[in-house]
Amino acid sequence: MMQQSPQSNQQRLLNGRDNAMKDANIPSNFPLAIQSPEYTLPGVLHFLQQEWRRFERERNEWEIEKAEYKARIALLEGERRGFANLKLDLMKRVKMLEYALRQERKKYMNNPKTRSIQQQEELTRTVDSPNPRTWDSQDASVKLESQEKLPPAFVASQIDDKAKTRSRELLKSCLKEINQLALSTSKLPYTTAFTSGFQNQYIKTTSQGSQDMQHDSESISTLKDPSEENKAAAKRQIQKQPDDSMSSFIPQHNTSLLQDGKNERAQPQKADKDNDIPSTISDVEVPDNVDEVAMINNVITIAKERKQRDQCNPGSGSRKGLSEEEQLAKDVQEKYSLSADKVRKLLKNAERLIHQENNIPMSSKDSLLGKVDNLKLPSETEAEVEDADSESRPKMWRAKHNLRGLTVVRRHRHLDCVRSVSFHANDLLIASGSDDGTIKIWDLKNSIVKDSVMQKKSSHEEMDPIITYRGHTMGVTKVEISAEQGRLYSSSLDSTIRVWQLPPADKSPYSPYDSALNIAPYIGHTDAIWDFKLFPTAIADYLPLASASADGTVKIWDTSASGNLLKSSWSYNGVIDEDQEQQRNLPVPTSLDICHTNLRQLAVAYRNTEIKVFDVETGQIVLTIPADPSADNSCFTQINKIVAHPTLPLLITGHENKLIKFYDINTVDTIERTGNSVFTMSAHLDGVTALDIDPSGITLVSGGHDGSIRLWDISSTSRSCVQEYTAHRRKADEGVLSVQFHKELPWLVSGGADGIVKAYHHSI
Amino acid sequence: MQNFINRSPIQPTMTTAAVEGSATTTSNTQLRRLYPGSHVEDTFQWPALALDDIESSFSVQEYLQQLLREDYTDIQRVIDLPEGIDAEIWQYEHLRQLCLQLNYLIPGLDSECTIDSCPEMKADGWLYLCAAHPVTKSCPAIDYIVHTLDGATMLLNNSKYFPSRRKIPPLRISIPEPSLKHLQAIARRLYRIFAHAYFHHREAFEFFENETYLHSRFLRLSKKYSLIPKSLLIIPHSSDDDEPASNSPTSPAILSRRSSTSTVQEIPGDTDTSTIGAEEAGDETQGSEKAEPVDDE
Repeated sequence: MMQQSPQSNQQRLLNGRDNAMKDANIPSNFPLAIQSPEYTLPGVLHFLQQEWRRFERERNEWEIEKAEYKARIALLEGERRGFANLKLDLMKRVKMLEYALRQERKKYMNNPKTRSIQQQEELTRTVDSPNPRTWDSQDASVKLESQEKLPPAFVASQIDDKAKTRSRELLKSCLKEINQLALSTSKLPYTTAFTSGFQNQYIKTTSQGSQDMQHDSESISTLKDPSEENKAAAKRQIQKQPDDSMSSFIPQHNTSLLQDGKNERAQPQKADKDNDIPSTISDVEVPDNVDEVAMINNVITIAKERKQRDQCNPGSGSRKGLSEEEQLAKDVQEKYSLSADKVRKLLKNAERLIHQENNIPMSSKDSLLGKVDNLKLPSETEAEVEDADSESRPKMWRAKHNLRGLTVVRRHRHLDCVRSVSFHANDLLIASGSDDGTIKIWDLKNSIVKDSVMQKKSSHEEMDPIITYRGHTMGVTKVEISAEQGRLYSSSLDSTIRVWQLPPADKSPYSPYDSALNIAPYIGHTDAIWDFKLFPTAIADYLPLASASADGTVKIWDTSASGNLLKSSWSYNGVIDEDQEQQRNLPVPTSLDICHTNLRQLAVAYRNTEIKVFDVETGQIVLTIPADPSADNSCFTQINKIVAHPTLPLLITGHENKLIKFYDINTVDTIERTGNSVFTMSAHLDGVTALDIDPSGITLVSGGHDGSIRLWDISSTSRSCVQEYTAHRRKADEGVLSVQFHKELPWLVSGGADGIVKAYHHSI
Repeated sequence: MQNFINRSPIQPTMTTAAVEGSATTTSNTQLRRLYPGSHVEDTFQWPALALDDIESSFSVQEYLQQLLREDYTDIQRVIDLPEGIDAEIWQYEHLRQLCLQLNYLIPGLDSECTIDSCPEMKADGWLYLCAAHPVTKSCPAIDYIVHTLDGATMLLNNSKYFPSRRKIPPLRISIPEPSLKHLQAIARRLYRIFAHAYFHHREAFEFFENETYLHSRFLRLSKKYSLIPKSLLIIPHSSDDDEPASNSPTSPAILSRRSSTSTVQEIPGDTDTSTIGAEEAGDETQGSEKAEPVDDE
């Protein structure tokens, strides 16, 4: 290099194609440049600099060119991926149509038709069923034969020209449709780096989408996610040879073939062996390749096919998942007449292969095994993901509902103690009656919606009522909503029951006052009304309401009539009228409930802890549960609340002296007409004021003056307390005053002396 | 309203029974609660307690209701700020009680105060516009009354504005400063319900007043804490109008009926304050509110 002359330098200039390494000669050329007079130092330097710049420029150009080519490659690759995608979608559509066809046929077959029709059907089926094979094999049969060593069945099926043309038509229409759909998804990704995350995402989207959607919408939904799908498809493509993309469908049509056979087997009436061409094919086919890999392949493809089928079928959701594997194993066992153990081993092998595949090196992509696995990968992982989904879904569900107990969702405020709360039977409407003389209706649904909008930030914030009813002239003691009538009933210390129309659903908070909402007062009681109950069903052509008042009477009202509302009135001793003075000293009713086991019977609790069951129609006392001997006729031992079990002949009472008692009204001495206490428990730290049983009859909720709400598991014999919850602050010496379960939804509402109505979402 | 107010006021011996009251809580003889099945006359018949002996979050309310049950006619005693209670809390509880008891006025009004009889909220030449709507508008009187009562109740029940109801003077976190303006706005609006009832449904007003002394009490309260500008107090309140006997107001000065000029002057001031209140109220959706003079009927 040292001997290089300026001429050689010039030569280089002329050639201009030497690599940049020669620039390193510049310092060594320096002394030579001095010797020759033509070349001045600045001139040489200038020249060298020029040269260097040129080289740099050229190099830049090459790099730009390279990048361009790369981009072009990426573009082409993207295009190819797009095509592959189209094919995939097309395949899906074909599968879908196949499935629909099969379903139709099944439906047809299941109809008890004559044999002839069946045979006819059989014929058409044999014509139809090879469809997927024929068109596929036409395109790729050569490749298939050479690479996959598929059975001669495929070749044989080529003969079926009729089916071929038909399938081709079908395919064409599908292609057209898919092309239309795909036109909009022209955005193709250029990146070549794919992570498995993408794939998972893709799988998730497809599996989730397809699970919920109908057949048609399934393919559309997958198309909606072009980028992810493209990436996933590209990954598959990269793992394979680019040019034999068609082979990616081999297992699928293979499967369809197998499944045709399988379906035929599943038919209730088996077709004749002679006619059953597809099944014989598959039967023949497999023994030919006893190769285990092929069998695994079959197993897997069957599994895949099943998954796909399940996906297509929205009804058969994840619940089928468990039995599916068994079914699969059975199918395989049946098909290959293998032992159960062997099948299990096969399945395991298949699984292992799939796992291996995840780490499979690119070099093995040409091998049959590798290819099989590659092909399997998407749908299989899809299946796995689906399995995981079906597993995780109930888990989530459980987690949510494992939160045993109550979550306070809403608080609503009155100006004074809330004496009674009531749910609407169907809607999330709460009515609450208070010492402030008002009844307010709260819409829980709206507040929940608002909550979710506000990101649950204000889950404990107050809500405003949708309407406030004013009409009572003293505190309200009890409210109840009649969903059927669209009415609200309320009783008060002012000795009236009032009936209100529920407001229209679209009522705004400050709409004009409508006095028509105040329907009618029930006037008849002469003292405070403490409890009433609306019957769920009509008795003797009217819908009764029973009320208990401090005047000592229980009255039955006709809620459907407009004229004579009062139907009957019973005192402590029944219908017999006694003189007013004597009645004054008799025990007063404190609470009542309808026996749900016999809707004509009304259980009334009296202050002396006696419980009487009246027949609503006749007014006769059907049964008397004697008073607790320890109880005097004072308010300190009285029953504050009585509830009847929704399904069992059981009465539950909450007592002022902290007890909850259970009475069985079935094992009653029929002669004496008395019942006995079954179980007594000390339930609260103070008087028990409120009771309710959830619609399933498993959980009892109680509220007491100690301010707590307790949940009891009354399905067990121990009747243990499941949860305690401090719900309301005390005002004066009162705490919780009312609790109620929703009849249909997992909600609980409570009202207390602090003037607050609380709604809870519970999980019992 | 009878559940707050005794038909026969309790004897003074009971009212002084602070020691006895504390004894009852410990001895557990009579608890201050309602027992289902009780006769009306037996409800709320529990022994009085001294304020300090009431151990609950609602001690002030309980104490106020207890005072009312003891003798609602003794307005001065009911109004007087008890020792150890924040003046704002006291006003707040009084306004709550006012709203509460006004609920019992509505049933007496709604039969005769209809959209036909009172298509506008008027009182002695004033026309009140309802502030409950996004844009203030003229509501029928019964709507105005219900809306105002609803709005005031919501505001008073809103823990954002009135977070604490305890008496706790040492802590003094009682009522936030901005919320105090609401008290005045509420008082001013609620006063109009009285005004309308007085001028248009005198019978119902008198009946209610005789049973509750609510207007007299409210008037005394608003004078004491200047909740309502004097010029807006349009109900003539002489001793024979609202107070039958001993406890006539110390200064029963009858305000001269407003002249048209004075009312016009009042409008901007009223509008301003209520607008501020409404802005603070935020979600209460109370727009600006106006009192407009209209020609006398």
